[in-house]
Amino acid sequence: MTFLARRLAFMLGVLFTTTFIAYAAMNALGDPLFNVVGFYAKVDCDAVLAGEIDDVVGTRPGSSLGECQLVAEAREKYHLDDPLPVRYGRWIGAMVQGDFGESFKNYVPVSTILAERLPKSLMLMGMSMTVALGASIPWAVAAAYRANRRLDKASTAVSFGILSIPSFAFGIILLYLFVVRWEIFPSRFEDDDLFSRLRSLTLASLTLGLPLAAVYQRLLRTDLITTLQEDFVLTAKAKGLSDRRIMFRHVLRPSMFGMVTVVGLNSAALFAGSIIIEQIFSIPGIGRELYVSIVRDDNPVVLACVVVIVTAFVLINTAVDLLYSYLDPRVRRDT
Amino acid sequence: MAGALLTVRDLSVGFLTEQGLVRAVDGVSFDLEPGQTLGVVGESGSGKSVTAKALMNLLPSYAQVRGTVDFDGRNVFAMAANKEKHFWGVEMTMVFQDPMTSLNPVKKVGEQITESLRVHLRRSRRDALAEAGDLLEQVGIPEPGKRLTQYPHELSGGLRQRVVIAMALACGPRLLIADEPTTALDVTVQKHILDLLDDLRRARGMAMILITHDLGVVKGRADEVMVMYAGHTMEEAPTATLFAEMRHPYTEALLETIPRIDTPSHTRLVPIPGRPPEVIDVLDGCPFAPRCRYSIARCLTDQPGLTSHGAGHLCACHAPVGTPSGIQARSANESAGTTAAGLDMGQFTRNVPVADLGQSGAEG
Repeated sequence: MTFLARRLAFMLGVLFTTTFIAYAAMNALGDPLFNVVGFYAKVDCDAVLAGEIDDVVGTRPGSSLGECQLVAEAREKYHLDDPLPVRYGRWIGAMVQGDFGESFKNYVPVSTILAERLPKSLMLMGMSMTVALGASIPWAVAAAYRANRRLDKASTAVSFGILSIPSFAFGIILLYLFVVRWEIFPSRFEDDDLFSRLRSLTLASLTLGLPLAAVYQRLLRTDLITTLQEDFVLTAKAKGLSDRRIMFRHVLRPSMFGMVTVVGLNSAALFAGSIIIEQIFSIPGIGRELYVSIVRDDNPVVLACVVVIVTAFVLINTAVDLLYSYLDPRVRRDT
Repeated sequence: MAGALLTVRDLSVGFLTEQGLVRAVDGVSFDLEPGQTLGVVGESGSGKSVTAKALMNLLPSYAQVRGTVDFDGRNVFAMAANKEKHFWGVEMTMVFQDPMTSLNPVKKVGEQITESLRVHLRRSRRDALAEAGDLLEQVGIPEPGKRLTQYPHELSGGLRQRVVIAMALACGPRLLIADEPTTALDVTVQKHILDLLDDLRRARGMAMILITHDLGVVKGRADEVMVMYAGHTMEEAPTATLFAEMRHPYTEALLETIPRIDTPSHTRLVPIPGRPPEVIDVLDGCPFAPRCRYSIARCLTDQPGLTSHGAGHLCACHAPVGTPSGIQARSANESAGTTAAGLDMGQFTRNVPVADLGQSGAEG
């Protein structure tokens, strides 16, 4: 089996396992029927239909028949009487075909919600990642080049400073300064054109990206310093290459392993972080939707969000694995 | 000396450590004529690699380098300070000890060879690749076209060292420093690489500094040999002179450590007793005195300077091998049982008689 096929099989395995766990949890820890019809789920409809009791409180004879109709319809519609694996199979089958179901609460198709929310979140992720990598790589290079000198020590202090501020506090500080005080950035998400979207997401992506940049900078700096001790760096110097060329053409690539691994793993943290950050900056993205849907017990939306996040995570980490073989040709040998 | 390609005068390299100043190289001077080979021989820690790195401007910034080095009349350290771009790698290059680690593992062989051609000589990608192919052929690599597209890990150690050599030769240097170029290789490959270096040097009229811990390597390859110990030059002489009439006890001891093909099997290998000194200590006397069979009282207090022992033959010793003072010192030490430095002469009784080693009789 080729490397790619093996990765793909592994990816599918992870996807099925995580979605099953999420689906089972949503069904076992809560009652989907309750989530759809509310308190009528508690009515003993078998007894009502048999004429033994009248309704929920038993005062108005026959009045519960309509509600029990609703409950029966819900059971029918969502196949709630089927066993869990069957329901999971039906759900995932529809999911694979692009049918994400519809919201329990406002009957809007989940795919419509995702189409509305996902691009904003993806844009936020992309911008945060750009901030994190764009800041950390030059920063780490500068620090490693002047390792343990004044610039490096100052940069260490700055990165620990950034890391020690919780992201929500950092976000609120930025919000206060740039939105409230100086009114440079809009207070709500503006969806007019690309520029307004970029502008609306700037502060949020800084809030998410800078702490990551600090982490990546620490990692990359250490690996760069280690690589700089390698013999082939001496060879490169003996070839009369400039420090800049040695750093960017010889040292950077073999030093990226640790950072790239963490970038992949951190993408999950990026999604988790976006739940809070989208709240703070009022960004109608998937993180915010997930939060609202969990509060409202809107199972199909929650599950769809989980699927999207897990898929993105697995895809990113597969990309990271593929990136290894680009970074170091020696990895390719055992493929 | 007029016309010398490389003139080194009083080169010293110190490293400031927590224990004090480590004098890795202390007052080394030599000349190298164009097209000549200088062999630099010594144990680990004798300062030979540090000397080479000082010439190549490869020492870390905290190294304290003193002295002057002129390459064809140009001051090398001044060029280093001015960040001279097209000197190192063009006129003077270096080949390192371990070909497993001296190539960048993530870059193709072709990229690594063409790099200096493109940076220094501004060759186009295509021209540089063609030249790199020629270079690989010159260093005896079959199928150069295929090798250019391979990564270092796909090549054997010997091939890699050939690639390293091709890389060093790319810009046509006038001086090549080879720092133990074969130490990391199999014995059978060692000879091939050394012969290759010799052939290339001859063909290109290039000068070479061949650094090694093995006196056998420089024999027949170097025009001149410099023996270093603890950062000092102990003896320097034209190669034939050195092997015919070595004067320094350290040179003699080094030669005795080489196992000979005609000694019976299971003969013990002969080490030099003791260890090289920590060069942190300020040395009053000769750095080799504690390990030396010839040491006399004066060796412990008075560091010997280089004195002439014939044409181009310099030696730093108070009791040189094969001279009346040396013969007298050694026989006095032998009858006393210990040397002036307290070394037990009994340690040497196992030795092959020095006379068998084919040099002028130290014991008559």
